[in-house]
Amino acid sequence: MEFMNGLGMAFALLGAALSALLAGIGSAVGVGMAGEAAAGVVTEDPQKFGKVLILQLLPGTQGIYGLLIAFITLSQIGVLGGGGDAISLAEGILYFVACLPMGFVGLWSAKRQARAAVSGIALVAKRPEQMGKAIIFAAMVETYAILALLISILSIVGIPALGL
Amino acid sequence: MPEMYTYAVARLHASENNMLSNLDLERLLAANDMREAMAILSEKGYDTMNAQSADAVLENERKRLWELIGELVDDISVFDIFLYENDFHNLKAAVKSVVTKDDCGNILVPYGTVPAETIVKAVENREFGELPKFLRDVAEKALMALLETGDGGLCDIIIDKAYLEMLLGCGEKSDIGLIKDYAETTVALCDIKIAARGSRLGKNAEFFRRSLAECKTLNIEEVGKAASNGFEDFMEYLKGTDYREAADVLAKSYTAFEKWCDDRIMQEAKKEKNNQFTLAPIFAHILAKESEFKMVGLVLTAKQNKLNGDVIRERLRELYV
Repeated sequence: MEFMNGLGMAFALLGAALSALLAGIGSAVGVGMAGEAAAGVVTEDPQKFGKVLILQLLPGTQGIYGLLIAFITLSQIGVLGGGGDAISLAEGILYFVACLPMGFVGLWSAKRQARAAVSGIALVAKRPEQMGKAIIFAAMVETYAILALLISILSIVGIPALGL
Repeated sequence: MPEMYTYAVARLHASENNMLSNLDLERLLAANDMREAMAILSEKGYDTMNAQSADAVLENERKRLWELIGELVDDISVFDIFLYENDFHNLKAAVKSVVTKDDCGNILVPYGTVPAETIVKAVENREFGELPKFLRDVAEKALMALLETGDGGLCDIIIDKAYLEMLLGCGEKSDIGLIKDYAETTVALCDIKIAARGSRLGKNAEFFRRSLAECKTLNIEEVGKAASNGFEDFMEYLKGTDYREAADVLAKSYTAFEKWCDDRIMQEAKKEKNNQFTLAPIFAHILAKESEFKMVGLVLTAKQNKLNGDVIRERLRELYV
């Protein structure tokens, strides 16, 4: 029984780790890619630094969402803050599955958002007055990261109520 | 990995703000004198202060372009496709100068994949092994043909055909769509030019067999057959191919056709304006700059020689921006 509870904890931790890891990787790749494009524009026109910086930062939010899910999970299973009871294998697997939307959607949406941000940076380079539109194009991708964040939070918070 | 050129592409796209538009070309054409024209170029980022002549300005800009590309792309050999034309031009000059014993120094061009001096030396000493493989056989063949027949036209045909075949080979090897399209379109349009000129001059089928280079969008046997029957037959044939528009333009004038050819290639390049990744936009940028240099050179030459603006205007190509 103790072993099964330990396994449950391992699954929950794996979920938390994957959420932070995948979304973090996606954001790192995305911010890096947008940063390269931003640097290319600033090399030619240093005055556009402020404008392209905003676009560069957009794919960074997924990493923060992943971190948030990891924090909530760790808090729910008692790793953070302490005082948590042992969790069953079923609960552990549920936490693991609940973390997956944020992990995978975070990874892919950050990469795709980076491509939109790079295109937006190119738009700003040629038409600085169109910056608002460039931000909107990239921000549309954010919707799906937010949906994944929402579903992960609702799932994680709802697991204790199942009483497994 | 397409994303590895993100910085390069973003930088080049940003620098396109300073490229000349067709409106700028009109301004340049309307300039009262060279001084005014140089001032317009200076506004667009051309370094006109340190250059003594129009040629020097363009030479300097071309040097800056290739230095920038060298800085942005690790392996610049992917763009050799632009430089082979200069190699084959230098080979032509070297072969002819060896036979006529004239100095070809003033007609050699820089920016080939092989230094022009190496080509001249190899041809002079008959040491073809000093040349890269793509020039070796054609150099020997062209020199022998010129020595045996004294026919400069035959020498040109041999070298031009080798260049076109080399170009097509580069396109086929490349995994970049724009390079493939550029190579195929360039070869096909050159074949059309050869066939159109040859048919007007009443050349026979043997001439076309020797001159035309294989490509995918034209059947050169049929091109040669139609062209050897005369210009009208060739036009009829052309109307049944992907290049039917060329027939209408050729009917107007050869100048209009040359402009149409360059504009067609530029339209392909323009598709890369919204591509932020891969090497294709970098290739498009080089095509765009080369076309811009060509047009600036044309306008400045017209200014220097006080030529009528209308004569130049009909030769102005569509620019990238």
